[in-house]
Amino acid sequence: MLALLIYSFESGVLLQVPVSSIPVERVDIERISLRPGEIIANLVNSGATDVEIAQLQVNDAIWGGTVSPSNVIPRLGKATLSVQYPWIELEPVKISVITSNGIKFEGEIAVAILTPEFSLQLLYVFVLIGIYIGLLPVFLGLGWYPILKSLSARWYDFFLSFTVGLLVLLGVDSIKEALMMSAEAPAGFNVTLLVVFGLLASFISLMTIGGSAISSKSGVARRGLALAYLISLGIGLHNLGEGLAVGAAYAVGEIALGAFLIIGFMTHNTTEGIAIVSPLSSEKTSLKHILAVGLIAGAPTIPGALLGGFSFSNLWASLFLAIGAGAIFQVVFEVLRYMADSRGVLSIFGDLRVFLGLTLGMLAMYSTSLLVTA
Amino acid sequence: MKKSRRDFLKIAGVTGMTTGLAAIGIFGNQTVRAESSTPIGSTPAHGLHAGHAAGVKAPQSQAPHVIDPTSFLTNFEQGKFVTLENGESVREFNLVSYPSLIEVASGVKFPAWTLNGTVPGPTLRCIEGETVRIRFRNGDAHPHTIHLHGIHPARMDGVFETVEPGQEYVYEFTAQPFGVFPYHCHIMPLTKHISKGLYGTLIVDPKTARQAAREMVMLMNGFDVDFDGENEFYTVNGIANYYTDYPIQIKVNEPVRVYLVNMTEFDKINSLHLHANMFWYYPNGTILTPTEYTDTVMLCQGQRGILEFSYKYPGRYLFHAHQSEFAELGWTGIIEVSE
Repeated sequence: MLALLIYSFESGVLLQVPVSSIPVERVDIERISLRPGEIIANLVNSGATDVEIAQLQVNDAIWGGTVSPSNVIPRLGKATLSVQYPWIELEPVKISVITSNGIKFEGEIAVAILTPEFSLQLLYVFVLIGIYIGLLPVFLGLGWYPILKSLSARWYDFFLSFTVGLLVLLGVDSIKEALMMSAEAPAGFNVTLLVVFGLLASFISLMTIGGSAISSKSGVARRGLALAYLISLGIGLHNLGEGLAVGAAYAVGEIALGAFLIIGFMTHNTTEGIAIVSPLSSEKTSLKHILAVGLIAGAPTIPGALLGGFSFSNLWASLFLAIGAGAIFQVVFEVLRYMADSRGVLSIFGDLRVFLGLTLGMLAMYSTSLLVTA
Repeated sequence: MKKSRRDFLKIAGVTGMTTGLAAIGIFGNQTVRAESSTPIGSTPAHGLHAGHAAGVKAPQSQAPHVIDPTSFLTNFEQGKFVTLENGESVREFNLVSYPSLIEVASGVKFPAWTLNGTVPGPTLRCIEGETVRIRFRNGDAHPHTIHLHGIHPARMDGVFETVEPGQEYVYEFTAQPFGVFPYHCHIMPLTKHISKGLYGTLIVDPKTARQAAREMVMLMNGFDVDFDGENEFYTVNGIANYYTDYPIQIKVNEPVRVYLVNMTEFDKINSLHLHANMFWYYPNGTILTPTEYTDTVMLCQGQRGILEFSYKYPGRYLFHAHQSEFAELGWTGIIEVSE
C-alpha cells in the first residue's frame, strides 16, 4: 500500500504538491577552534537539502579557506572549514559561510584564545576541573553524614524534605539548561524533542527498575540505601551534562575558572552530597556504600569535562542534562512516596518539619546558585 | 551547564570579574542609597542649564610618556636631514609600530596598534620636491606596512611589501604633489589594521610656503572598543572630548590653518562644523585657491583638506562633527578666543 502510494507520487499519477523553487537551507557552525594563524570551524548541514558552501567571510570581509571533505555537504552531514587568518587574541572572531543560493550562516567566538590541543597536561586540567566541581563538592556534602546521623530521628523527615527541595530546583534547572542548549544545537536534529524524550524516558525507566526495588517489602534500612543510590544516579547523570558544558566552555575560553567560580561550584554542588546522604541518616550505613554513592554522583563530572573539552556538542549535553532531570524527578517522587508511606502523600504537607525542609532546601539550592550565575 | 552563566562569564571575561561582582552588589543595594560614589563620564556642559556638573575630564594623554592632544595639535615632525654618498640631502623620518594600551576616553583603555606610541601616529611634514625617507620598523606581532597617498613608485606604496614583525622597510620617494595626505597600514584585513590605529597625516608644503598662520592638524577617527564593528567613541586626535575639557587657545584675528584628515573606520563619512564663523576650504590642500567658503565640511574615509579662518570676536566656540551622533560620542571641542 505504502509502496503504491510512493510510486503514485513519484510517477506523478497523483496530484503533485508544487515544489518551492527556493530550497530551505540551514548550516550550523557547531564549534570554532583556533590555532596559531588558523581558524577551524565544524559545519553541520541541518537543513532539508544538500548545501554548497560557496563563499566565506571572516569578520565581515571576504576571505579564502578550504572545506573538507567537500564544500558540498549532504543533508545532516558534517564538514570542516579551515581558514588561514591572523586572528587577534581577546577579540571576537566571526565566521560567515555563504551558500551557492546566497544564504548566509554565522558563527562567532566572543573572546578569541588559542584552543587547547590535546595533551597530557590538558588532560590533567580537565580531570582537575571534574574533581573540583563534581567529585570534591559531593564528598564535602557526604561529610555531613555524621552530623545528620547524630540528630534526633524526628529530624529525619526534615532532611528528606530538604533533599526534595534541593532536587526540585536542580531538576528544573537541568531542564532549563537542556532546553537552552537544545536551541543552540543543529536544528535538523530536533533536539528539543530529544530533551523531552530523554526526560520522560529516564523518568519512566527508573520508575520501572528502581521503583520496584524500593517498593519491595524490604526493611526500612534497605529502602533508605536504595533511595540514596537512586539520588546519586540522578545527580551523576546531571553532573555528566554539567561537566560536558563546563569543559567545553573552558576549552573555548568562555570561562576563566578562577578561585571565585571554583568556590561557587563547590558550595553549590555540596548541596548535592547532602541530598544523597539524607535518606541514610536514620540508619547505619557502611563506609563502602557512602563512597559508592559519592562516586556515582560526583565522578561523572570528570569524563564529562574531558568529553566537553575535546569534542563538545550541544546535542549530547542537552540529552544528558535531560536524562539527569528525569532521574532527579523520579527520585523526588520516590522520596515523597517513601516519606508518605502509610500516611498518604497529602498528609506529609501538614507537617511543620516538612514545610521547613522543603522551603530551606529550595532556598539553599537557589542561594548557592547565585555563586555560579548572575 | 547554564547558558546564562556562560553568557555572564563571556561578559566577565571582557570587563573583568569585578564588574560581575559589582552587578551582584547592585542586586542587594537597589533600594539603599550608596554611601560612596565614583563619578564616571561627563555630562556635556554646553546647551544645558547653567551650573550643571561637567563630570570627569578627558585623560591628559593616551598613555604615559606620549604626546598629549594639545601638543599633538601643533606638533609637526620635521624629520632629520641625512646626506647621502652622492651628496644628496634626504629628509628622514622614523616610524615604529607597536601595541599599546591607550586611553581613548576617560577611564577607557583600548588595545591599540600604535605608530610611535599614539593613535593617530605622528604628523610628518616635508616640502614638495624633497627626497623623503620613512624608515619603518615593525615592533608589533602582526605584519604591517605604511601605505602612502601621493605620487610614488609601486614599491613605495606599502601594499605588497609586507613588513613582518621585527623587520624594517625604508620608503623613499620624491614628495609630490604638495597637499595633505593620510598614511596608513594596508595589510588585510584592512578594517582591523586601520581600526586598531595604524594611521597618521603627511603634509607636503608647496615650495613657496603658505602665508604664516597658527597651524594645527586634526585627524578625525573612531574607536571600536568592544570590537563589534561599530565605533563607541569618536575623536579628533585620539581622545574623546579632549578639546572640550582642554580648549584650543587662539587670539582674536589670528589666522588659523587646520589640516583636516578623516580616517574614521566603519562609518561612511565624518564632518567638521565650526561655530559662529566661516572658513575657506582647500580640498586635499593640492590647490592654492579655496573652492568653498563654508562652516561645514563632509569627508569620507581617507578624504582630507585644509581650512583657513580667524575669529573676529573673543569667547568660547564649539567645533564638532555635524553628525550629532558623533558629536555626542566624543567628537566635540572648544576653541577659546582671547583678546
